[in-house]
Amino acid sequence: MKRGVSISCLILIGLAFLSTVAEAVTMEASVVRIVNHYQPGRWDAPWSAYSVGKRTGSGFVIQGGLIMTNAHVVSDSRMLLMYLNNDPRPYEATVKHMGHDCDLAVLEPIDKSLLSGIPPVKFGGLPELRSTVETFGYPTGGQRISSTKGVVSRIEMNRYMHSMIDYHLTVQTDAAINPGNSGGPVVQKNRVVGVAFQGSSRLENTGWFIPVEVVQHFLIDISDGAYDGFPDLAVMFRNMENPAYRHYVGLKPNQTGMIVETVYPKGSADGFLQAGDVILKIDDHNVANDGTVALQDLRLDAAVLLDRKQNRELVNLKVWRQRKSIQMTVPMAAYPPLIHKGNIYDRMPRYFVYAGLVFVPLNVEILKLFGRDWDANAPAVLRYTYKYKSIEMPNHLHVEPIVFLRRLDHPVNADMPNFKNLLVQKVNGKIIAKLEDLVSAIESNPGPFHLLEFETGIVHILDAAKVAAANADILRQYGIPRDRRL
Amino acid sequence: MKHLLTILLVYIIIQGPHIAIAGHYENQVVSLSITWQSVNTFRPWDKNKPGHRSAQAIVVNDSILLTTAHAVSNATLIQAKKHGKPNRTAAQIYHMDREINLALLTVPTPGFFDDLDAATFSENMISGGEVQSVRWKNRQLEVAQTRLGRVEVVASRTGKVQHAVLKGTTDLSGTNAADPVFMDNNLIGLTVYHAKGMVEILPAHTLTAYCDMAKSGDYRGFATLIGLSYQVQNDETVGKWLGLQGPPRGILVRNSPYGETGHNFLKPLDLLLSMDGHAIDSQGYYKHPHYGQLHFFNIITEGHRIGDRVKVSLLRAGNLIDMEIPLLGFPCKHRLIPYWRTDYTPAYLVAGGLVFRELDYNYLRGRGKNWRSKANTRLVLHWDLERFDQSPQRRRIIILSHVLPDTYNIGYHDLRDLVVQEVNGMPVGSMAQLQEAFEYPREVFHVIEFQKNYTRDKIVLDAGVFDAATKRILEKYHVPQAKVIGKE
Repeated sequence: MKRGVSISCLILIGLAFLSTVAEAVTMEASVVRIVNHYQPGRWDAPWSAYSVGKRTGSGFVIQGGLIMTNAHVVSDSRMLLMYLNNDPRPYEATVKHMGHDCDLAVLEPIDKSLLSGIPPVKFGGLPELRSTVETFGYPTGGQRISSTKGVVSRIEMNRYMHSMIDYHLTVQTDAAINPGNSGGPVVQKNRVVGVAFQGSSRLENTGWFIPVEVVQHFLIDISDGAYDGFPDLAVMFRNMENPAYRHYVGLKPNQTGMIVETVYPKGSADGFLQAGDVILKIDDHNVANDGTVALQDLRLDAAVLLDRKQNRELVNLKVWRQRKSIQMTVPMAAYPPLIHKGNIYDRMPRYFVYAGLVFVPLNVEILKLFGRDWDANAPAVLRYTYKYKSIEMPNHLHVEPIVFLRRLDHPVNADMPNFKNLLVQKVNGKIIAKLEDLVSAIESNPGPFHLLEFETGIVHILDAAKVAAANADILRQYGIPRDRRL
Repeated sequence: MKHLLTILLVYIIIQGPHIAIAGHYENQVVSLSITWQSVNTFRPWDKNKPGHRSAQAIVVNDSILLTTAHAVSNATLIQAKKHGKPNRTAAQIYHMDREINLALLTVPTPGFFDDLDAATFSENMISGGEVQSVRWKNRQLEVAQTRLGRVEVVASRTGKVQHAVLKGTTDLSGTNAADPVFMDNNLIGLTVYHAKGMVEILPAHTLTAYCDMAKSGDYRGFATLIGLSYQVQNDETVGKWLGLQGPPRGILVRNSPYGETGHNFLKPLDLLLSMDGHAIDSQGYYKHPHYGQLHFFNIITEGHRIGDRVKVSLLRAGNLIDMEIPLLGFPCKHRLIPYWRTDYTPAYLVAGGLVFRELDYNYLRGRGKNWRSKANTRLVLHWDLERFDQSPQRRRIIILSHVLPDTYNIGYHDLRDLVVQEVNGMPVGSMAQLQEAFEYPREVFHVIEFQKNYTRDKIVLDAGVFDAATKRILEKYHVPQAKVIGKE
């Protein structure tokens, strides 16, 4: 009898082992290597592009003959190739949907039947803390598929480095996530529980993957054929941990919540929430004084509940306003002004060249021209305008600041003081709130001079007739195909 | 043997004048030993570890020594040594002007000056050639060659008065030590900056002007135009647009901040053509009778004092205008964010564990050499963009520096480097206003509002237990004094 039990155990262990091996083999078949020949626009010479680079990553087959990967693997693509497991032939693909805010993308092979023989992965749920997960992918250092195991060590909202400005749920693991792993599946019990996406050079054995909750949000969003992005209440919340503050707003001892400090104009909550409101509940979840909610066995940032909404979906809020509790339903929507604060991909720079003066919209790509430490080295007015002005003056979020980036030397402008990187305030007396305003202010001016006024009080005066005669010559001399991309 | 004699003769020829000159200087130059101690900029109730520095001083007359303000800044003890002897004699600051970076010292010990001679200040404006830098070192007087290259107008190292300096290279090693510089036995200046063999020397005529003013009993100080922002203009199109006849000249005014000389007189887009009779060219230079082309800021420093009036010609909206402008200084008290300050305790207030203080350059620079990267970026931007922009309503930027954690201020422990806008509904533009605002709680709360930021815009404290909590926190964190409000 004893022996019979031992044999049964061995058989079970053996079957389990065979099953695990079979599952790994099935998963490996679904994982692809992606090669992206990319070419981003050139922000210091916005009419041109940088030289072509090559980036590799991973992806996996999902329903519909498509491949899921990270946005950062396939951004700025000029040609995408993918390689199937144990197949040396390259297959061309295109980006079907791109979510830069959640660092996810869906690819479609040019040969639409290419993946018909490969089973799509099945998605699981949020893995438990301290449970084991396995990553699959094609990290640098070899051509063959690789897998590593690790433990789920933390689940929380975190910054998505691809855009630099978005925060969504992430899962931290000590499974190795190296360059090339990006876009590969993270698996538990033969189900995909996430997409590997970022590591840390400062921490040892620490990587993060995008949990299925975020992946599913992306897939549902694109199911109508277009990606709208994560909605945002466009509100600044703060904690209410100090008892005096709770007393000040009249909260009862058993009430908790987070306080609204700023409601951004034209955002989802504009017209619903007010500064000074306390959010007591989001849908059915009580908000704690530290701004968290209890979800399953976890305590997560309350924003995770808002992240679960799709555009146009409703969120129910219980709000404490002027010592009374009120209920409201807010339709959620993405907030483009905030999206535009992040890294820019897949868009060629906008610009206007006039009299050899190069004008561009201010964005983080312009600031990055001043090096990795741009936060200390870029001109103060540009740093302030990009980073703080819209925080201090929320209406400024809807302004596109325009930068006089540089001068292309020519006799028509050579005597002007050689200022550069100035923020344009007015042209011919008209306030400039977007690039088109600047073009219009110049082209609609019938006078003999153009007066350009900059944020720091600097002025440039241009002789309109001389500039009109010189413009074509300047473009030709500097190899600029067109004077504008608006 | 003949060969050896030749070498000896050459040596004597080279060293002879040197030795003779050294003998002449040793009665005019005194070395200073300074013990100094600065305030801890992040815990302004504390002082940092004392330090020690050496410097030189020049004998001005039978009771006064002249050195740089930088040399004696934050001094707790100044001792003078003469003739390379080890005996030290206590000296005291008689007068100091950080704006021009000069100080006069007295030595109360009777007889100290008996065997010393006053230096002869050169009456010529020297701008080139070889001169001698002098310094006591290891009980010997070191005399080294210094080669003057050019004259430039720079801002004073400790204050911000713009003045002419003689720039050159020296064989003297070391750094800023207020080394006197001589030519033909006459003092031609005092070294105000010295690094990597490069020196900047404050010329004798400025030293004389300072000493005369300090001794006169009517010390008005040196005027300055710093804070005036302008753009050079070499473009005929600008001239045509402004209505200027002839070739480009003059500088285009952008802004003259509150408290600065031009504030009530100069307007944006004024074309400043001349000052004190000196024509200003399109790059902002004028022809100095001895030094050649110099930046026009020197016009009001050299030969003028605060309170003097200077004639100005400018083109405004196509019209030539002449006016007289009374000259002002632009000291720390007129700045929204004061620049480097020494010999002071920053104004601060600890309230409910919240540490408030004035934002100043010391606070930013306190983050170290890479302060631009390490200090709070918004505060650095205040410095970059607004440091001159004081107004009667907003004398200073008051910040919440950090929080001394306690149950009383829970929820706010991580707040730091936030700009205070209002306390209890009262705008805060000075430490005095901040202190007063805490005297008027809103019912039973203190409500503190910050400039909007990424961290938190508003906090509330329980006013009922505010005093008791403040007292407890001060004791817990060994803060001897809850506040220093200051006079500025």
